[in-house]
Amino acid sequence: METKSRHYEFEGAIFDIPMYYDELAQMYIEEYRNFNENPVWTENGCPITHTVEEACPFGEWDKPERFNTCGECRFYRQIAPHALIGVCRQEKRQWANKINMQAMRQS
Amino acid sequence: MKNNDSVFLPLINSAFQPGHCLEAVQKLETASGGQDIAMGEYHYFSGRPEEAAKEMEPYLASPDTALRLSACLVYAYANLAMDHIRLARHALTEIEKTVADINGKEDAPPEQKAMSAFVSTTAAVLLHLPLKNNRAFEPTVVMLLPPGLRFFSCYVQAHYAYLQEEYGKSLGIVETALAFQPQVYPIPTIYLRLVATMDYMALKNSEKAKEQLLLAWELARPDGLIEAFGEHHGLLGGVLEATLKKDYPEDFKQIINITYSFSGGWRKVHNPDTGHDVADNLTTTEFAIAMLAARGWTYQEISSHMGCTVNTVKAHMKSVMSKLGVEQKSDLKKHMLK
Repeated sequence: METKSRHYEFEGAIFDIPMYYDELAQMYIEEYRNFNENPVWTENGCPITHTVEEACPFGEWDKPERFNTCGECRFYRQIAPHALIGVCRQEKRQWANKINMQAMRQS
Repeated sequence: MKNNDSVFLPLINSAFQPGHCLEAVQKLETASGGQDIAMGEYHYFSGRPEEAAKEMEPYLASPDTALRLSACLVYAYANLAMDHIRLARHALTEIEKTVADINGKEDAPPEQKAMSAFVSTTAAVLLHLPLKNNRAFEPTVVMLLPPGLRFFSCYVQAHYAYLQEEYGKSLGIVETALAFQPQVYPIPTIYLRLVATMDYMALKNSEKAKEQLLLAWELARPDGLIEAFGEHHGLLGGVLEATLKKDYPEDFKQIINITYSFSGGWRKVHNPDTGHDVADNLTTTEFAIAMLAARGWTYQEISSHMGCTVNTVKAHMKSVMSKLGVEQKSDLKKHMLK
């Protein structure tokens, strides 16, 4: 069977998402990794996330009827039009802060 | 006793002990044609639409209104279940014509008017199409129906209340109908319990929903009356997966096959007639998860309800979003059932 993947390059983050053919929908679907378990970061230390991931405690929402997902959070920026992945701009989730927080917890 | 009332959807109108459905059909004493209609109903409700449609064909243009309306209703749904949309629409048009004809006659007997109201409302509500006057049935209509059909009309009323998001009212109708049953009318009761399952899921009471589904299953299983479970799958919010999949794998598989064929046909009539865009490219599991997510259930809640891991739920959700081309969870609703 033909294997396919989609290549992403965004703000220094470079990664491929494998795709599989779905018979029912008759289309190729991206098979996303679990970004929480296998994180990908941009050059500036921002994490990549999927729109349906459950939002973190630092999430903030503009809409009154909110769904607790990254895609609805005001810190989420789509990587490209129609993409289901994006970058989290919340400073508290940036790589440097994460390392600092881990170091503080360990000390 | 042989009377003409008894040819109007005689199996829905029959009280029998679970496990004796076929016997009840064979013992029916009806005017000519009634037993054929009952056999067609039996085949339809047990997931054999090809046989049901064949049995209904000779009565689609019958001069007897009760036979014609019964045959057209069963034929329409049997063809939806086979994805034969043109034939289903033909039967629905026949129903419309017959109803208009009856309503146009001042001297039409009230029982005949009740029958026509029953069939046209049932056909519309089950396809989630808008109703004239925004009302399922006038109480005077219900009173003129024979007992089993009265109970089935309660199911239609309850389903309509559910579609209006009046879940408490819908449950009230179900409970009252069940309390007033002098004997067990299995087919209306299965449908009533299924709508109660939908109500409880909408009210986020997963345990009560499972209880209602299992009560429906107890009645349906001995006679293999599984069609209703496949018809309602999308509205049951994963209760079938949570209750039947593990203990009744073969039946579950059959129900899922019914779901795929029925929902395909249903959407082809529902979507263009209402302008809605109910998803047709999701697996039944994806659809069930997406329904719950669109209603604001968290992944943790969905995983405990369906007995799978949170990661499985998320993986299904990612696939749903890709297939539907939806970028935010809040936009899912547009592609789901009410």
